[in-house]
Amino acid sequence: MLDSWFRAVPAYRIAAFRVVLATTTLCNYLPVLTGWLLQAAASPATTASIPWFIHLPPPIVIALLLLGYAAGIALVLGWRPSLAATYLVALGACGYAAGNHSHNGFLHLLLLALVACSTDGLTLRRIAGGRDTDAACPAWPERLLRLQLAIVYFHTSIDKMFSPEWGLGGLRLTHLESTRVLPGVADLERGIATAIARAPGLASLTVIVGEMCTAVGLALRPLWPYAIAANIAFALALEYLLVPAMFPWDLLALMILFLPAADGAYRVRLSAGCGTCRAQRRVLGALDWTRRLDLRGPLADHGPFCIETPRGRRYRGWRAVGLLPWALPAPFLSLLIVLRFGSEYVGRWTVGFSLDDVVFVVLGLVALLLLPVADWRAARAAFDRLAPIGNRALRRVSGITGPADECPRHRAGRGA
Amino acid sequence: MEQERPGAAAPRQHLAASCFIVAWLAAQLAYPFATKFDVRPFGYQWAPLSWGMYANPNAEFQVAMYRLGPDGERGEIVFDDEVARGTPWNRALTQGETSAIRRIETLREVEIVLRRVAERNRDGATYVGSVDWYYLQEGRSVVQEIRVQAPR
Repeated sequence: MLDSWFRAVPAYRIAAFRVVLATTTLCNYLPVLTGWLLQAAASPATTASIPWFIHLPPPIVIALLLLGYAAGIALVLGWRPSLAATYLVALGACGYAAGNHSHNGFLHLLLLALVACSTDGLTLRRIAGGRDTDAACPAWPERLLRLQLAIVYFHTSIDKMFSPEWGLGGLRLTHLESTRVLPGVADLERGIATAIARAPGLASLTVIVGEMCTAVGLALRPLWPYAIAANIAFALALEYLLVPAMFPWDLLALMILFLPAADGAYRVRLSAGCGTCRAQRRVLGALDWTRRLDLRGPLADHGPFCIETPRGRRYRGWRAVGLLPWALPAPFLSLLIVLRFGSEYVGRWTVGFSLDDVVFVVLGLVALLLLPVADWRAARAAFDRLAPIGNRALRRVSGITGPADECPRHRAGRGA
Repeated sequence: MEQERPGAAAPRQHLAASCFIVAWLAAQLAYPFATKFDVRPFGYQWAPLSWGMYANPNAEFQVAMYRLGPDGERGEIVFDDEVARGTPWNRALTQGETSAIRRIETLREVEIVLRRVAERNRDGATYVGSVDWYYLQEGRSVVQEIRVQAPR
């Protein structure tokens, strides 16, 4: 019955997921654990969740935490990832045993535990460096991870059905605290909160039904496209309105496991001899962790920077740039996670409040690039002006020197 | 459909991995149910703020909110449902006893009520929320207090 669970699947998918998960681990999971464990070490009278919990002295706790950060880095780099993930699970269990609790942290801990079961064996260097597409591993760890997400949605929906704070009353949603600060971003948040407060029962019912439908959709492969869309919308809404730290980012990272891998389904039109095209190929290849890009051809006679989707639709110029996050979800998510938590920490340190609104500015811009507005004449003109600057930066980043403009597009000094 | 590739799990590893898969799924499905539903009589075991999957009902708590005057005397806080909007605390439930699932969130919600009362009254008094946590596994309690100074 479980035979299909043991067939080999491309290893790039779970390896890319591991890198994104490890990014969240370093940015949020470990800082949270640091607070918990240092607090427990500083006040031994703290009530532990288990009676046999041993309160370690602060120097040992600090050493264990430093080892945890080293494990987080090892998980990103793919050095003994199973051992690193197992250590991070154990460290998290210590945090819980010390008397703390976080739903979000617990899901992250479970995801780490399942990542520890993976035998993909891919280092970050290989994921980002090689053009190989033949690495494979057993399917069952990623299947369990997918089902884990469905189970979480199922149980949270059940909970909300029975809870008097949710249900048809929606008491929980009558007062959403404002967290956004940037003009526009904060205005939109207030508007949504006001709309929800006007019909909290309807909003609550929408969440309950939506979560149950998403649970079913994630468990049934034919419904994945709808479930993926629902999950992304839910995660972004959650992050936007409630800012629950690592949880939405774990939800988004799990989406990598629902996408194809090693299929080269997105065709990027690049020529062989042109230095700029080679630079683009090198940078895109380094970001193609799940091997979704076909960077081989067609080789010549291409117009503006163009990507052909798996369904044969062509995106050019800005719209092709806007499509990249969909074709390269893992590095894009890692970047967003660093931006999200980095802007929070830097903001709190410098101006006293989180600046993580910037994430939604970035997401808004990316969404804008995909809209037809990105094809307008003014947008095309702006693309033609900016593309050479971007190409020079790409050549510098990729270390490709020499003649840059061998193909017709780049010789004309325009286009990307 | 993805094609079969070399790298699939060896057959002798199947049994151990199969046991792990079955145990994991069973635990993930059954444990949250066991924590949230009473079997006899069958019913939902509701606790405030337990709407997450991984409830952790290891403590009970009792909340008392009062006003501390300039000379230290305690006075009752009078507030209405508007002040408690968005929190589980209302006039009927200022003192209750239930399971504590999310301690930080509970404290934060008590603080929200106190801040709103302090903002409304603007009498310079100190408003105190006292949360008495009773840890079931160890049979001992810990009291945490939140103090909010009202502006004048």
